[in-house]
Order: sequence, then structure tokens, then C-alpha cells
Amino acid sequence: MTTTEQMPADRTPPVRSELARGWLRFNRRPIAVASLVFVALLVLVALLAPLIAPYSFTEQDLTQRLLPPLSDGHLLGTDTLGRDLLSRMIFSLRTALLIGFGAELIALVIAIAVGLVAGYRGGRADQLLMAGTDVMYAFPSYLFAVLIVVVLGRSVTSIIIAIASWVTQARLVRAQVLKIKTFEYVEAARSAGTSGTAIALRHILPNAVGPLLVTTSFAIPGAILAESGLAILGLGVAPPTPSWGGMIVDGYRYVLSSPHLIAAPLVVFGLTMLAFTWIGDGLRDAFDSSEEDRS
Amino acid sequence: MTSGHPLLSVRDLTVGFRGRDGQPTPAVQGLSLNLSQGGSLAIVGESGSGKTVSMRALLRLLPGSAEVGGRAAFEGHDLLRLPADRLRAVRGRGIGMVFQNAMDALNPTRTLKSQLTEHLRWHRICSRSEATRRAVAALDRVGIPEPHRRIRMYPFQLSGGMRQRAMIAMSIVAGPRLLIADEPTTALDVTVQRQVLDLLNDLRDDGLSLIMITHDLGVARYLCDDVVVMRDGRVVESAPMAEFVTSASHPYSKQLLAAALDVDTSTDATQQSAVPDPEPEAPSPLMRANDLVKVFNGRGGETRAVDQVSVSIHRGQTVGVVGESGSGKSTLARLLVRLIEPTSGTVTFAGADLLGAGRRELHQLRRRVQMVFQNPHGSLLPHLSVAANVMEPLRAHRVGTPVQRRQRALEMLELVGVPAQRADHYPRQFSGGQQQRVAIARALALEPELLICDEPTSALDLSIQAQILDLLGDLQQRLGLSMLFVTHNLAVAQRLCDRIVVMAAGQVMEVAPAHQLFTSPQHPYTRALLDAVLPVHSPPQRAAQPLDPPQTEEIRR
Repeated sequence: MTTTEQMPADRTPPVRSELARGWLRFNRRPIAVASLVFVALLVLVALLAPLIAPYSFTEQDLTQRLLPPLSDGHLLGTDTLGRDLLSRMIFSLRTALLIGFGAELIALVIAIAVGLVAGYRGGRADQLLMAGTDVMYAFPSYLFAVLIVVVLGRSVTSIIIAIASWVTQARLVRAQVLKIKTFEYVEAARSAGTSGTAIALRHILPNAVGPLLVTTSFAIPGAILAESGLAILGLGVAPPTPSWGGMIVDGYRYVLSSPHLIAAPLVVFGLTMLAFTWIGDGLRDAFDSSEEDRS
Repeated sequence: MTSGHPLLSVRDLTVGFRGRDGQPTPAVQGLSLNLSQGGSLAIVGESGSGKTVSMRALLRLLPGSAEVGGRAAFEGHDLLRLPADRLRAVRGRGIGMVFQNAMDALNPTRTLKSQLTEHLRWHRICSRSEATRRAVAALDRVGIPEPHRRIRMYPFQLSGGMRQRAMIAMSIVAGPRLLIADEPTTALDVTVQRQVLDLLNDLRDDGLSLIMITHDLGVARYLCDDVVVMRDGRVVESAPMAEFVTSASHPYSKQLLAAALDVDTSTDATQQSAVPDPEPEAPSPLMRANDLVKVFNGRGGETRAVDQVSVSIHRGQTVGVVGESGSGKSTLARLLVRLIEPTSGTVTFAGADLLGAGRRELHQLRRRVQMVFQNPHGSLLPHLSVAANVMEPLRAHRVGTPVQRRQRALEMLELVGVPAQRADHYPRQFSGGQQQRVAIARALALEPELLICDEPTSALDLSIQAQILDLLGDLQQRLGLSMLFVTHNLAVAQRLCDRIVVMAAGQVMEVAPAHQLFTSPQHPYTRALLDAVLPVHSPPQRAAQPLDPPQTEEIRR
């Protein structure tokens, strides 16, 4: 009678971890893979900026102001101060990615800590943490960012701190934890005598990260966008450090005469936003547990 | 079987689902069947056998990714080629369908009246007032008391059994000739199941033909004249029921029949009690619970989920806890390992006070009591390999080095019949039965003295269920385990347990040695439970002892 269940050894399927399976599913979407390659390329360019950029981002030549693209020695032309636009674009990538990834990293750490403790401990801890989260949620996040920048200055670090938005993700983590807490594998771990910390970190957290990664990939371009918003208020990254927001603000006055000033950052900005969104879609497929690959 | 041309004749039905790559995966391959006017047919198979898919294909209820081939003539018209408007007429008036889960199949935001009459008015069968009259009559026909009052209720205001009756009323209100019932009683308790089946039987007397999709041979035998056995989308055997149960020809059918457990109530049976039953007051049981009470405070007020329950488990003994859903049996199991804290009462394990134990003491005690859960898929960590899953409890108790733990995990997997070369696979790569084996291996890794099993086989197919029961029985003898076995299935309890506790509404109805309980049940509730069991291997007795519906509904409160 056992024949139906035992399988011959030679038909054993390949071992496939959750991660490997996720990658296989991600791979099914060419556009997600292309987006990932694009973002990797951006990161590479940002890292190697001093080697790639033809000029420094501060080097001015007031005799060469507002050159159009494809000018001699300036592929994308120059800006109002005669700085090479291509070089500024390359260096602004550093600022953008630093802000996007940095802000999300901080947000994730806070969100996981708050959500995990609130969801797993419950009771008083949950009430306090969630009350705090609600206050943050109710407070206009833009006003909060403006306040932080005014207090801490216009450095990249203070802007990262200002726009790190962890509130929504903390709620997401908490909801995931509350759900997973009722699963039988958590009960099994409890009845085996596993400690609370181990259950939270080893049993619950790894199974809660899927949706979190998806929201993260949507939040990164959101953070970059927030910096641009601050730039329009005159509270973006302080010059001469180039940022997309700053470049757009500088360029929009010359929109009619020199549209390239605003076109370059806008195109790269748009492509980056799209890429992260498509990566998010791919991740959602990757972590979708509705399909099984049983043996 | 009546003569004449068949009501429904299906020829070479095939169903395939196109995947992402555009390749169809076959789900049903070459199903053929005949149902005569007034006949009743059971389609029997385990999960994934294609029984539900094939019946939905008949009514063209499958999603667009399904490719359906073959012929299905209902009263001479091929359902698979009927134009959409004619098909809708057949769906409503010719063929009625009853789904497994009435809670999902009924719209919670609308009253029974609007759902029952909508049907009639859509198909322009009759006027509004006539529709209401017919709806009330249908509710009355399916045995819903006070239909005039209840027709104004919402589905969630009805109990599970009543809801299933309402669902049946909805499918018969337009007077179909054929009723397709898809596992209509699987979600119901045995006593309620019996009532619903008796209702279906009554409807057959009205001349309704019936196709019953079920995994339960007892249900099939109780209700149907013919049987079609399906496996992996193919018909394995099709035969008249009476012939099938005595002389099935296909090996798979034989295997199914062998795996179908009957409750044996004959006096000379059940001498298999391995351990002589000690006196209830025998010295030092391994675990003893006294007057356990658990009160849940919910929105509906207090619920006494477990009410003054005392149980003792002696070394080497298997104690069964049997009851219907809501009887408090699972809550009791969780109280005994202190997964939830009782409201009052005491639990001692090997002389130590489990409820008074501090953190460290509890940690040590938990090593000696382990648990196996109902849903193996949900009880294993999905991101760890099965070997790592089995190592988890060892990690928690800091037993041995990682290498030793792995060694131990492999031994345990071997013990439960999972080959070593599959140890690094992930839980989802295993079937349900294999997953449950892994869960058992994990529970045994710490060499516990007591194993608490909460419905470990009820999520599994019949043939797999038998294997897991054999495994548990075998392990118990080899390792000298004591066991508490929670189940709703009396036949399973009889097969494994030395002593049985019958629970209902949080209270113990009866405690007796297994052989005594089945041969001479004392409590009326135990008798009702036994009567509701549908045997596979002996001819069914129709409505031997009719149960009064309101009474059993009350027990479930």
C-alpha cells in the first residue's frame, strides 16, 4: 500500500530553495530582468563616477554657458554656469541612489523592528508602538521632512533621515506577523520549546519579507521623488552636489531656450522609476506562493 | 436503474489547462459516463483526480484557460456546444449544482429570499409572488423549520447544516432534473452529514437524478447506485455500487476500499488493545488533567470551549479524543501542552505541575511532550529544508553539535520513511502525506514520552491516511510512546486508541475503553455519533435512527 507515496530515487526532483524558486519566477518576466540589469548599470555608473565622468561636477567655464547637446567636448552640453551636463548627470546618480537606497534601508530597519515587536509581543507593546506609528502617520510627512532639513541642514544624510518613511511598512510587517503568528509552524515551534526571540527572527521574519521587498522596490523611487520635491522648496541637497531635483529646478527657467537642461534628468529619472516598478512587479510574482512545485 | 435513454451521457470528456507556456496540462482524460433518468452516480476519487473539474466542465464553469473536448449530451443536447443563452437555461432549470462550502457559495449580503427567487425570475419561470411561494416550498422541502421566517434571514444567521440545506434548496427551486453535488457534506459534522444525505435521498424519491462527487466511499455507498472511480484524470473503474464494494477489479479500487475504515461494532472484534486498560485511578498516569476549563471571550460573549474536562494518559497508552467541530477537542490538546493558558484546572506531567512551571521548567517539560498538527503543509517552515525542519527542536534545546543534529534528523526521517537523498528538499516539494511524515519526524526528534496528535490525518487522502495511521501505530510500539489522539473520525480512533474520550460542547460525554465504547456505548450522544457513521463494507441502513435536527444543532452551540 505504500507504493503510491514512495518514489524511486532516480526521479528525485532537484533541491530548490525558496530563494532559487523566487529567482526562477522572477526570470519569467523579461522586463523585470531588464529593469534589474538597468538598475545594476546605474549602480555601477554611480560607483565609478569619478572614472567615467569627463569633467568634475563643479568645474565651471562661464564662456561655455548653455551649450546645446553634441557640442564639442560636451556630449550633453553645459548648464547655466558652463558645467558639463553629462558629468553632472553621472554624479547626480550617486546622490539619487544614495538617497533612494539609504532612506529605504533606514525605513526598513525601523519598520521591521517596530512591526515585529508590535505584532509578536502584542498587548501593551503593540498599543504603544502602534500609537506612535499612528501619530507619525497622521503628521504630514512633507512638513516633517522640511522640519528635519531645516534643523539638520541640507546634507545628503539629513535628507535621507528626513524622507525615510517607515510607517506604512511597519504596519505591513505587523500585519504579516499577526497572520504568520497563527500558522501551525509557529505553534509547532512553541510546543517544541523554542524561545520567543528565535521564533520571531527565525520562523516569522523570513516568511514575512516577501511583501516587504515588493513595497521596498516601489518605495525607493518614491524617496528619490521626495528629494526633488524638497529641491523645489529650495530644501534639496545643497549645491554644488548635483541632484536630479536640483538640476530640474535650475533648468526649468530655460525650458524654452535650452530644453536639454531639464530633459536629461527627467528621462533618467523616469526610466529609473519605471525600472524599480517593474522590479517590484517581478518580485510580486517571485513571492507569490499560490503555485506549488510538488514532486 | 430505470431503462430508457440516458438523462446525461458523457463521451470522452477531456479537460486541459493551458499554463504560462501555452502547453495544456491534462486534468481529465477520456471520462465517459451514463446517467439514466432517476439514477444516481458517485464519482469517487482523491484530491487532484479530476472529479470536480470534469463536472464543472459539463456546465462550462471553468476559467478561460481550460480546454474542454468530447461530448456531453444532456437530454439530447450537447452541453459543450450549446449557445450561451440556452446553456444558461440548462444551468438554472435543467441541472442544479451544490457546492462543498455553502458559506462561500451563498452571498452573505443578501437574504435567502432574494437569492432563491432571483433564480426563478431571471429565467422568467414565474411571477414574483409565485417565486416567493416556490422558494418557501423549497426551503420547506429541504427540512428548514419555519421557512416563512427563515427566508428573510442572511446566510450567516444559519448553522452549517442549515446553510447546506439552503444551498440545496437554491439548486432545486427551479425544478432541475439533475443535481450535481460536489462534496456537499465534507465540511459538515457526521451527525449533520447524515441529515443532509437523507435529504438528498428524499429528493431522489421525487424523481431527481443525482451525481455525487465525493472522496468518501461511505457517502457514495449510502446514496448512489453506480460508481465511477477516477484517478489522475482517468476513469479507473466504473461499476454498479453493490458489485463494486464486494468485487472491485482494479488494484486502485481495491486499495481505496482497503483504506476505507469502518467502525466495527460487533462484540467479538477489537481485541487489539495492546496495553490492558488500567483502572482510572491507577497510580501515576504520565499526564493527568483535572477539571480543565477554557473560556474564550469573543464578540458573542463567553464561550466555554473546554468545560470541566479531566483526562489521564498512562504510559504506553493511546487515548483518543473524539468529537465534532466545536466540541473543544483541539482546544483541549493545546491546553495540555500549554500552547494556550487554561482559565482554571490543573495539568500534571510525570508528577510535575505543567501549569505552575516557570519558563525554564516549562522549556524542559516541553522536550518530553511533542505535538503533531492537522495541516502538515502549514506546520513546516517553508524556507527551511525538511532536514533543517527536523533539526529545529534540537536547536531550540541546544542538543548536540550541528553535525550531530543533522545526523539525528536523517535518522528520524529514515524512521518515518523519508529517504535520505530527499532530506535537503523543501517542504513544498513533498506530497501531503510525506509532509506529515516529516512533521512526525520533527516531533520525535527530541525523544518525547508523549505525542499529542491533533487530527493528523484529516487533511490527507484516504489511502495516505491509512499509511500515516500505520506509521503512528508502528512508532508507538517501537518507541514505547504514549499518545493523545484527537480526531473527528470514529473509525480512525477505533483503529489506534486504547481508551476514548467523547466530547461535545466542551464537555466529556463518555470515557470508555475502545472496545467497550464501540460495542456498548452508554451515552446517547455516543450512540448518535455511531449511528451517523456510514459503513463502506456493509450495506447501509437508511435512516436507521433519525436524529432530530434542532437537538444536534443545540449540541454544537
